Amino acid sequence: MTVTPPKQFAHAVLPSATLDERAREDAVRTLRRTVLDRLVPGVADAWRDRVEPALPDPAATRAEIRSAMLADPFVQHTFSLRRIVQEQVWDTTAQIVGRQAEDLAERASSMPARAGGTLQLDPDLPIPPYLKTLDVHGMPTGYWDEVTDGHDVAAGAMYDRGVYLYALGRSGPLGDSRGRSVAFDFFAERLPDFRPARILDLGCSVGHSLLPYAELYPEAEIWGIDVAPGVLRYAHARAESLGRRVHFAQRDAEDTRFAAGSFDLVVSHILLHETSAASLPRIFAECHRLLAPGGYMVHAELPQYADQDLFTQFMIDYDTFYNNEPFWGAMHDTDLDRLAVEAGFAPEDVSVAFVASGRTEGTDRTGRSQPGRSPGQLQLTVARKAVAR
Amino acid sequence: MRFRARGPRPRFFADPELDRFHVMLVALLGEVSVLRDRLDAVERVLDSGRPFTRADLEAYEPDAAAAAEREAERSALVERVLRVVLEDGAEADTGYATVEDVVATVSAPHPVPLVTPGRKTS
Repeated sequence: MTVTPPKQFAHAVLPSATLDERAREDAVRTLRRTVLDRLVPGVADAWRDRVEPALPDPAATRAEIRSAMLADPFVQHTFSLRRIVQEQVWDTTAQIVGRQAEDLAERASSMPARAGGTLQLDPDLPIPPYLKTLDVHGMPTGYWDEVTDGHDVAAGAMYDRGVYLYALGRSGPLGDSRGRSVAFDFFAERLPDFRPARILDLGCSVGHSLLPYAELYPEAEIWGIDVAPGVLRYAHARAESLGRRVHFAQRDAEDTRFAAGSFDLVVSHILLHETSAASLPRIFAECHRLLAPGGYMVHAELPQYADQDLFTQFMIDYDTFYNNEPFWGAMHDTDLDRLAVEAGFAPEDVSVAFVASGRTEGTDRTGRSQPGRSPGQLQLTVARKAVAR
Repeated sequence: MRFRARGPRPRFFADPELDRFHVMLVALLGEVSVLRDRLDAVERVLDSGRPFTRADLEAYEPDAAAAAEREAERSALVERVLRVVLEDGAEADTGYATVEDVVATVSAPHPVPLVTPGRKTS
């Protein structure tokens, strides 16, 4: 089978890479693909052939599976490699971004806002404690570090170039497959008459998932918020370079300080698991407060653990312990529907929907169209605010 | 620029030094792949028959066919280095659990005397 490397769309603030840097990315991608496709499936064999038969009693929790599996040499080796490859993604990306951080800051600050979007920063906004315990995904800038004195965009550049490598290009040339799936496979297909005038994306980082909404609802006023300044500066420059009119603001999803009832749609994409048990109910309550009557709250995550067998839970739970996403497991155990009801939504207005997560469509840098889908599912927690009587 | 993430790093092996050696091994594998790709780029630019500078080399972008060949070479390199793990347990079973079992079996007393070193047989 012939495999050619995927190409990320080179918008105006994407960091560039030298010959050797491109080769390093290619090496990391090949390693990651080999680990995921060739080694990780062997973990299930280890469980079935060696580890489970040796247990005195059947495992009752995924923690018991984990404890038994971590003693198996093949599992140790596979998980260690998977972690190291993840660190290599960031090591490689940090070299690329680090040597051009000043130039990227200059490019972002001088980007004309031709599309009409805006950027509002709040230097006094505190970084939430859950982002300071570990650098999420092992990304060494975290979401919030600033490495230059000026209009720093290093964290955004790290996230954009690094996540593309991490996803093996499967999230599309613009890294927008998740937002595109929710926008076009859920809203456009299942709520064709819903035309939100004002849309808010929580924890938008560089705007990967947000821009498809600007494409679907060109008349809408669209906002993306995040707590980290570097990703927002990058997001603004990126959106303008791509010709999408979006407003970015540095605000916390727990307390956005937007007016009550001022949005018709509040969305998030794989955000919840990066917060904490303490902040989750506050985010849901804030969504309820922000929505106008008849407006929708939609949170997209990977499927919850409730309906999955223990071994599958153990496999997905890799990220909790080894990908610096400490709330991943507990979030996937949480009853999000109940949380929505506790936040003020009527039980009959809360539902769950699933969409395939891999919708990609766009142009690579040679200008060819790249339609297609890759496997995986998103679980959507959908809640509609009651229409006033 | 930071290269290490904040917070504790997970461990996978009983001996933490093994974790560190694993990290270094994978880093070296990456460096070998980079060298291999760079050499391949030089060879492909040479194939054009035109003189070239380091700047020309830096700008080298493989076409689709070259990219696929390079990708296949890279996969094969990774495959060779990881083979001991990729093919873990893939040894064909000959009915002996250990090498010692094999040694004992083939060395067991046999009706025909074994050759004694230093003595000529006819």
